[in-house]
Amino acid sequence: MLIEKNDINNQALLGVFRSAYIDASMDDDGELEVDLDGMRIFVDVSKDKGFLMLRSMYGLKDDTLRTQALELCNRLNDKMVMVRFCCPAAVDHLILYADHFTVLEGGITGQEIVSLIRRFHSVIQEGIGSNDTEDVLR
Amino acid sequence: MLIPESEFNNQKLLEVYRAAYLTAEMDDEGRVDVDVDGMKLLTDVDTGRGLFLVMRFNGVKDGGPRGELLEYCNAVNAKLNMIRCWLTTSSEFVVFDHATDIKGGITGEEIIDVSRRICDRVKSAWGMDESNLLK
Repeated sequence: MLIEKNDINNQALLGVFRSAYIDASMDDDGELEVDLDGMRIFVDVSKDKGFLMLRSMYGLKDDTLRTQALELCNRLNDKMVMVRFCCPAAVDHLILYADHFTVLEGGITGQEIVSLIRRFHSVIQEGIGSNDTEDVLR
Repeated sequence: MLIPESEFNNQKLLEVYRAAYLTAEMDDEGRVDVDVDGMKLLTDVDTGRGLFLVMRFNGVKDGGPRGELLEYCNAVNAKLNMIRCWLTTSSEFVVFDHATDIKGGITGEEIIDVSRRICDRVKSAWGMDESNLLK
């Protein structure tokens, strides 16, 4: 069933995840956190920009060089599909940040939401293991 | 109107673009080239993986230092929403792309909206090329 753009919010997403037996919770700020097979995924709806956003973060070892981190991000973006990887400059130490944006124009189905988060999880899980050739991830 | 995954393919994609008055044609490999606001985008329905892909390949100037190109791609990925930016192994191209999961279907509005947004983001990414690395 199609959920119209104006009806999509974090509360509606929480309902979708719970009906799909996905472990999800909402904090006091209304931010949605999903635990999928041990992976923490933050989910948010940007109403004004019309996006559904998925985010996840991973630590890098202290002795990781910036060039190693950038090569890892690039390799992941090259080899994997859909999920975007980067090392945000706003953080004072190197971390690997993964995200994905889905446009809500035209609405979205519950099936699409569940498929999306499961795929986000599987892409990261498969990609990180096989592409961390220099063993820089914690 | 929702287009079910089972009915979504490159022929349907071509019809959606043409219905929206965009110039689009199918290339020799069966993918769809579409002109959005003067920018050529390569689009494809990957039925095997259940994805709608929008891509833009951008040449890199000869001798562009790989380190600088990686910093550029990372800055795009960190600052702009939606698009992914990565450098090919040969360092010849920077690729901008986005993939939409179509397992639950997709609407024509979403197809057009994604295509227009990617066009806008690529233009923004070009504006971030302060070292003039891209062709």
